[in-house]
Amino acid sequence: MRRDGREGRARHPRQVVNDPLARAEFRRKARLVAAAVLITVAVSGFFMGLRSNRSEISLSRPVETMTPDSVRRVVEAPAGITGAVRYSEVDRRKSGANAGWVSNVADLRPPAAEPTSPGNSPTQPISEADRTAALALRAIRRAFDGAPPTVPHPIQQESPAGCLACHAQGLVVKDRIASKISHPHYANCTQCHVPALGPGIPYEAWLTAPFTTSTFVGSTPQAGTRAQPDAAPTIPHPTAMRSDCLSCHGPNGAQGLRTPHPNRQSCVQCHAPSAELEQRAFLTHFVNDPAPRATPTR
Amino acid sequence: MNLDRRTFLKLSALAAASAVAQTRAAGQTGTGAVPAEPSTDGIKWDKAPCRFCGTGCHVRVGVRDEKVVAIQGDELADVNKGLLCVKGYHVGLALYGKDRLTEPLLRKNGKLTPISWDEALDLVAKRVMAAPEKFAIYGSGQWTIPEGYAANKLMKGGLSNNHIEPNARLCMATAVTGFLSTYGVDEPAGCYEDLDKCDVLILWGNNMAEMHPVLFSRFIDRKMRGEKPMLIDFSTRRTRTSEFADHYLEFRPQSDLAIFNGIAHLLLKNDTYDKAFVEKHCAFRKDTEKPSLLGQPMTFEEYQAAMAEYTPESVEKISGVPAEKIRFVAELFGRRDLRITSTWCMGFNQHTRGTNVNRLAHGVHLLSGHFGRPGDAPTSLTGQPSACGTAREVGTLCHTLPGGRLVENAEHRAESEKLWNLPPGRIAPKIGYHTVLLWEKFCTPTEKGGDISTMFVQVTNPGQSLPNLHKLFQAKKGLADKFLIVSDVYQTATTELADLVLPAAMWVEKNGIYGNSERRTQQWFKMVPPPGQARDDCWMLLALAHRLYALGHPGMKDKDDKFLFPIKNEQGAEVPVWEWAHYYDVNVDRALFEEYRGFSTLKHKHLAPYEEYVKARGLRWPVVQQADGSWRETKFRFSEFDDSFVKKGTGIQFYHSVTKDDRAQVWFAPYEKATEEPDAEFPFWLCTGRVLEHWHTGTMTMRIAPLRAAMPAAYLEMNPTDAAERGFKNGDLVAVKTRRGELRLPVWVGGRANPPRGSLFVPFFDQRMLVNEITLGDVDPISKEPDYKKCAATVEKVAPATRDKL
Amino acid sequence: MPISGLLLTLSADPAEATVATERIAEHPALLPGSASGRWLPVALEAEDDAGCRAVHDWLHAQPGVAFVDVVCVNFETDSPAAEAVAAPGAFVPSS
Repeated sequence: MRRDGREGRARHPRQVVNDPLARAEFRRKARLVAAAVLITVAVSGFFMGLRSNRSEISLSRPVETMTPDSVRRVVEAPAGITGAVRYSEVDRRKSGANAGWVSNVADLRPPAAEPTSPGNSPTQPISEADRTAALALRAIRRAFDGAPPTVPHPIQQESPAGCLACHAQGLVVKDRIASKISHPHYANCTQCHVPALGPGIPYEAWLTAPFTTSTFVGSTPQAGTRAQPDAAPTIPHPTAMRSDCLSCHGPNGAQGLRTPHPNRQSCVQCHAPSAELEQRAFLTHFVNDPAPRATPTR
Repeated sequence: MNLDRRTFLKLSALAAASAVAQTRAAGQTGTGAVPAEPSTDGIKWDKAPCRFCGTGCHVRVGVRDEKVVAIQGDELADVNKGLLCVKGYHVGLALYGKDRLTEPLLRKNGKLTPISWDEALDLVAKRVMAAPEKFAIYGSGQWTIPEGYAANKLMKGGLSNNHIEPNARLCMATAVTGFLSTYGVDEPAGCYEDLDKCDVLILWGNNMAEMHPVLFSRFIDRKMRGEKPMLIDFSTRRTRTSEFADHYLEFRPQSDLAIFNGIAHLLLKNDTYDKAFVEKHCAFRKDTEKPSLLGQPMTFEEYQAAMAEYTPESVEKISGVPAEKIRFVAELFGRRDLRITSTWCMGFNQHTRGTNVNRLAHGVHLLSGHFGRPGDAPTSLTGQPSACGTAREVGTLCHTLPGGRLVENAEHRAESEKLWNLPPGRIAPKIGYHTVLLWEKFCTPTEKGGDISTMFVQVTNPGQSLPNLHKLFQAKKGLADKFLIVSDVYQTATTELADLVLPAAMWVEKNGIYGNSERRTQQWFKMVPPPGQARDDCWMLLALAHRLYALGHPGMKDKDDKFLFPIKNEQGAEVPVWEWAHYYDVNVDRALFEEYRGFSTLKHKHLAPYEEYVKARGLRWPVVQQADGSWRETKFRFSEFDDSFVKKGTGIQFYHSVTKDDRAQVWFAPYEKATEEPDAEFPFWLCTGRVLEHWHTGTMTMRIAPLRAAMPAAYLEMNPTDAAERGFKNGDLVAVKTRRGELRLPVWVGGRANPPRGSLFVPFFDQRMLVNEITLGDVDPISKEPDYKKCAATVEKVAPATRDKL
Repeated sequence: MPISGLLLTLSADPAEATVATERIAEHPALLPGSASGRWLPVALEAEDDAGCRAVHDWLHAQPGVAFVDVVCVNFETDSPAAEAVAAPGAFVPSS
């Protein structure tokens, strides 16, 4: 019976793909989504362009770009003549954010709308290997557990305006995941998140070589505890700056960190945070209170 | 069969329940215990203010096995409410660079070689004994309050020597003269709450998004909550801050003087200044021929006449800010229904007319009545964690004594001698050398009048942060009779020329107290041991004092022939804290702080007892004891609704007015050219400063991997058109030249924003590219603070053949 | 007949806990296991769902029992509740 139940659940996505009608519907939806993504990108690009009215692109002189040699282009117009710049060149003036940008619209995929999106199934059981891989990747970007992660890609250095283009709702492109911002009430992203690869200036090697190593050993992530084998684990980290659990544990989180039940909305209903980590020290005296009673005595 | 099956099921159910019972009981000691909290992996948390800037965020420091392993923003802290910046989140890593100094080092035959602490201190004591008047201490706005207090007492009260300066001379001295000449007493009247309450925030040459990110977020996050406060960014270069601004107003360096006068001109002309406020609370003032702190009074009519020439059009001509924008800002100031906060930092302070531009900023706020209500405030921000606490309040400058007292004031000297239990006349009446002069004297051969021969540097890196380094620091090289002692945590540009290097404990490796930008005094406890033989700076000073005492220096005794630093335990017995083994037998910080508290009431900078700071996430002075015995901090000084020293019924009272009539001074100061402006030979303005990732000279942040990776080296920020004209590409090595020298750097076209044409910017954090070798070194005539923000420069490509000679 | 495994948290007062343990041992529907610290596992078998609830409430009412956790419930095929589940539509949840 259990086996049947599982198959029944797993059959659903396959049905969508095999049934011609459903497949057409799926394609139609995909096109709609692709169009929506394109329009969003175009519109936000337009407004971001308007915003950066400071641009001083000199059309009569060579302009250095930050793109790799393979796609590097230098705009060079005959002396004294102002030539039109191709749109494809506009963002290449120097920006680190778009360095090496390659159009691959076909790979764009919106955030998984439902837990059963093909190939991205959060309901698939989390293996220990997945979890280890996810934590290892996580550790690379943090000096210690709880440090703000560094940015693994070049950024637009002038302002954080572009961050939300991908991170406001989260985005999966091929194997890259842009996680959804889990503290949307903060505006200045670069205040805490700095690019791991530096500002994008081609520094000579000796300038970027570290002159010392550090003996710092940071704290590492802990697993939550369970009151009993099948109980929901507690939250082993502070929830400050993590107001949206699904940023990491949602369908677009790393495989090893995803929740097996994304359809449940109220995480803290079952997963309890720690008063100590939440900095509610004034509540921790309850911790030493004897086992729960029907009526709390204080 | 059926029965067997049921029994089996029952036993299964029982087994499952038993397993859970055992899980629950496991790890419990005795009966009655409950499951532990979610494991925090043995981490113990405690509070401390951040080690870096003057914002004064509180962090939670996670310690395990005597090492800092994690940092959190402290949600109980009013300053940052749980938020930090990228430096703050990584502050714990600053302790763990592999090259920490762990033993005293003496330069022998040009090489630093290990010696013992006893030898090191004996050496210092002998040099001081030989020529106490040629000894100087150069300290820091990163000194803790007890450290600065001990140094100040040792020098002024012990050695009768006023040659003690903090590096804060290089950053805050101008803000001090601005406050003193306007209100008669130092430090901002408002607090960070102004950022929560204002309708308009005007940043004056203040790249808050990178330099005070947590304060910046405190303001701009209001927009995320649906509020609509306006941000105006007056700046000489476009920055990350400008990207958030509603109005970015770019002005020509030095023309800030004219802009304020333009605003004042319009307030007067349009009759929109606050007549009632001015009549009740203000007086007018201007400088005499020779600039001075107090100048001379002028009438309102004279003030009006002086402002007449600053029409919006003439200001546009000087500053480049369109006349309509000047009118717009003046209109905002003319409205009583808006609350306007201005902030500034090094753009105003490191300025050859810095005192004047500070005065004008206060003046425009006073003239328009934008003062004293929450959200209506002229506020200067500090760059160091205790520039306010240790440099300004403890008075570690060459002309000041603790608690806002002055060396030149006989009454103040007498009060200090009394509080220190010293014989009358112990404190020398002549002010010492200010920072630039002090280093000039140290770097000048003795026979040519260089009368400072031994310099003790603590918690700062003048070899990188002084201006015009060739002249003011590097010239020390080869002067055989000059002796440089440096206490620090890492090798720095300063230790390169040091004769004696002392390994110091830092931050949570010692007890400490800091004072931040909003008058908030913050305490923390030692949490981890320092590495190797590293020891507290405060201990070094007490140990030196005791050695001088043992050698018979008369100044090391008070008037009862007792040691200058009487540190007693709870039983009242003296503790030999000068011996390292006994230093932590008693809380020396508490003892020194309680002694220092006695100084704090003269200028109404009242401090609470040490224990109150242990409980709090800092308290803003004046902290006044209430009828019920509790201690109440003050958020808005001079305002009756909050400041208990204001006379009832006055509304606002400037109770330290220089004119003794409760009035603040509205100063007139003319626009004057910078001392060095671009010309044909040096056509660029050169500005220097900080970046988000690095703090000051980078000795700590350059050793923190994520920060270093994000910003690995200094660069020359340049306008794209200027760069293109010279054929510079990103990463090209170029030479920046000024009249003081040449510096080679990689180019970053545009940098983090877009600097205007004709301007250059170089951050000063990189020890390998010392921009201060070429900065100006000219000082403000009143504050003696140098200008790092403006000088004339030119830039050339470096021929590839010479590249390796960087 | 439904069978379930329960975990009882006994009172911190040893006297109360002893009384409760004895009374539980005497109860016909309950099969106690061996206690670990303050935690006593028991198996519960009753005629039907209502019977289970009644015993559950009786346990709660004991002064020596601080808390009752349900660890597992077995819906045997011969129990009326399990039949109700097997025949959708015929079962109306009681709560």
